[in-house]
Amino acid sequence: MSDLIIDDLTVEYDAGGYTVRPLDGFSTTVQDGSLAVLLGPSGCGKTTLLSCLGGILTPTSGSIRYGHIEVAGLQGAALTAYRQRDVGIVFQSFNLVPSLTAVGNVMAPLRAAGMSSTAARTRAVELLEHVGLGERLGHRPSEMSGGQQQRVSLARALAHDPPIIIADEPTASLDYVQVEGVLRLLRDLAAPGRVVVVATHDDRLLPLADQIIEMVPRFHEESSAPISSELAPGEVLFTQGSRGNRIFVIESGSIDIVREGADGWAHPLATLGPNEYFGEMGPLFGLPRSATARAGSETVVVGYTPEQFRQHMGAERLTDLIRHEERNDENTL
Amino acid sequence: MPQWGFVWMVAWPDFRARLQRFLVIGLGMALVLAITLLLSAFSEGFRLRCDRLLDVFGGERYIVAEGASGPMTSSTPVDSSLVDQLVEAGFDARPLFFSPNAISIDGAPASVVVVGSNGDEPGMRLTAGRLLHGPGEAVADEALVELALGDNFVLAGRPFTIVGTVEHATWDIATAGLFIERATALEILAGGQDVVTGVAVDGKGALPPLPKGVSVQSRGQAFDDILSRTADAKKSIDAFKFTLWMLAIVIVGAVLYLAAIERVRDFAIFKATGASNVDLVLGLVIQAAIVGVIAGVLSIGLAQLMKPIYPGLLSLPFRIAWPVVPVAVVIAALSSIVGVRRAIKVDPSQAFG
Ligand SMILES: Nc1ncnc2c1ncn2[C@@H]1O[C@H](COP(=O)(O)OP(=O)(O)O)[C@@H](O)[C@H]1O
Ligand SMILES: [Mg+2]
Repeated sequence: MSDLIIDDLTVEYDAGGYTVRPLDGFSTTVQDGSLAVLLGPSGCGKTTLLSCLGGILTPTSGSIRYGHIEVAGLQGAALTAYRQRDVGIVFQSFNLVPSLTAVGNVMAPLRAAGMSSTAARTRAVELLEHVGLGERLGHRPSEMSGGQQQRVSLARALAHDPPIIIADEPTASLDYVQVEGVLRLLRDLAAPGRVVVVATHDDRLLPLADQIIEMVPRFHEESSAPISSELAPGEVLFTQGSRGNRIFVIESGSIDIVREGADGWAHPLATLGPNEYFGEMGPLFGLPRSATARAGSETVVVGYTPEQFRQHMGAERLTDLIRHEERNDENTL
Repeated sequence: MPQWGFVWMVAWPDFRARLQRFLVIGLGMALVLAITLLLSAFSEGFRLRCDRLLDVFGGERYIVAEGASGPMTSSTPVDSSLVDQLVEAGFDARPLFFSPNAISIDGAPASVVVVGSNGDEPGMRLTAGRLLHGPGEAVADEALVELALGDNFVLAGRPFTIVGTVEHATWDIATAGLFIERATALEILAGGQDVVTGVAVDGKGALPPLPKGVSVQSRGQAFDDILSRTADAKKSIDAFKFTLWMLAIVIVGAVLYLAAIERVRDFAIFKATGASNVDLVLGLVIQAAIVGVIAGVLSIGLAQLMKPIYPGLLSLPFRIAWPVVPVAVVIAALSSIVGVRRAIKVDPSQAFG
């Protein structure tokens, strides 16, 4: 009878020289017996959070407590034991071992924990029957539908009857019909003595949730210096719909700003020259890029983070920045 | 503590699922190992050749000049009265006379060991022609490929004709024995003195007191002496074998590494569901060991098939062949190290996404 308490969790990745921090001081509590849905667009850190809960990623700082277990501090044999007995993971892409049958996949974690062959088989068959795959015991993943594979994955997650079940986008690879069975199973699992955490951007799951944890994307990139890029004529700096945290100032050359319309046509919005800046809206307000930026000629641009950009422009220019937006009006970037 | 049941689940189903790949690795490894076996067979052929050479001349014991290396390799003369002395004492004693020499075949030189023959040595096996009947005749070991029946050559300025060929009278790796009448040999190669370079002795019991300047050798000593003359060749062969093993490790290691890369996701999943590194490592090593057993057994068969292609005396008794199986297992296990390192490095969070 424990709650899952996540406190001030921070995760940093080193992404090729600069730091990405998808979780920055994240805190939440999932009550015992409840099903929590982590909701948020892709890239906001859902998988990262679940990896920490599953004991397969060590957070940079913060704590994850379940009962007397401090998950974030586990190491070695204790970590292996936690992965074996305390947590069950359902993956988006099922992640079954292709060489093993349905029974084999469910038996594997039991055998890894030292259960005898007979006992493990009995338990695996029982679980597969529970998820409705009693007829599919000897099939390999390649011989099963996505929904069936996801149910094997669920049975595997349940092998040790763990008190924590986590599922990463469990319905993303499934069609509508297959989703239902998987959702019902997940819902039934959230009972006293267990917590279920499901990450998704599928709002079909929302009615099932006892608790909805909304996560917003953040781009926290730390770099000591602005990034200068040289672009060949026609080279794309960023595409519409992508995310980024750089505001660009043209040093030389020119940049064409183009909006890709729903009609499939690219509408030119503006052509910018030296000392003009663009791409400020995305980083400032956490929005995707609203247009594509492409070099018109040999061009050099310098990308600043919002903080650096403020310094670069001087505090008094901050209002100019917003005015620049108003001036461009429709053409926000 | 490894969970062997789980280790087997890591090793065997995947092995079966990718059987073809593993068999290809095994076959490649078997080919390399078959070559090492042929080299072993070649080495073993040296030993066989030593025995056969001794068999041609017989003898349980030998008497040679003191300080001489051995009866088959010494050309230090000893007075032949020694032979009579031994015969009087009730032993079966036969004079040996060997002289490493060069003959001239149509002006071209060839190295031989000239044998001053008593007519028919106890283990002499004719393969063609007949035995010696006169002073101008010679019988050559088959290793002397330059000469066939009826051919002529010159030794110490005298012409000879080949009247017969024998087998097994081969010194070192391919130096032929060339039999001429003992009297002729003494006349042209020992200045007419009645000497021997050794005596082959059969018969039980203590030998009579021997004159100064001679010593007794057992057959074993005689054997070791001949064999020691091929020691350098054997060393080269062993070094070559070792090189081939290294080659096998590199080749098999590369393929096993690729095979392990294909399983990165498997390892991430296993780790995420609580498998220990030890178990996964053992799983890979066992797969490699199975490849090793297959390759080892296969290589014995391959070597037997390839043996007839190679000239010379190759001997591959089971006693020499079987160790290739454990060697193959060790090679395969070593080969798996790179793949194993890759598996250890797999981060379980790779199971996501
Ligand atoms: N191993 C990693 N190395 C570097 N960056 C990573 C890594 N994993 C995730 N990220 C980054 O962290 C952010 C959050 O990713 P993720 O947790 O997968 O989000 P979600 O699951 O919500 O889509 C993304 O910007 C992603 O690019
Ligand atoms: Mg994700």
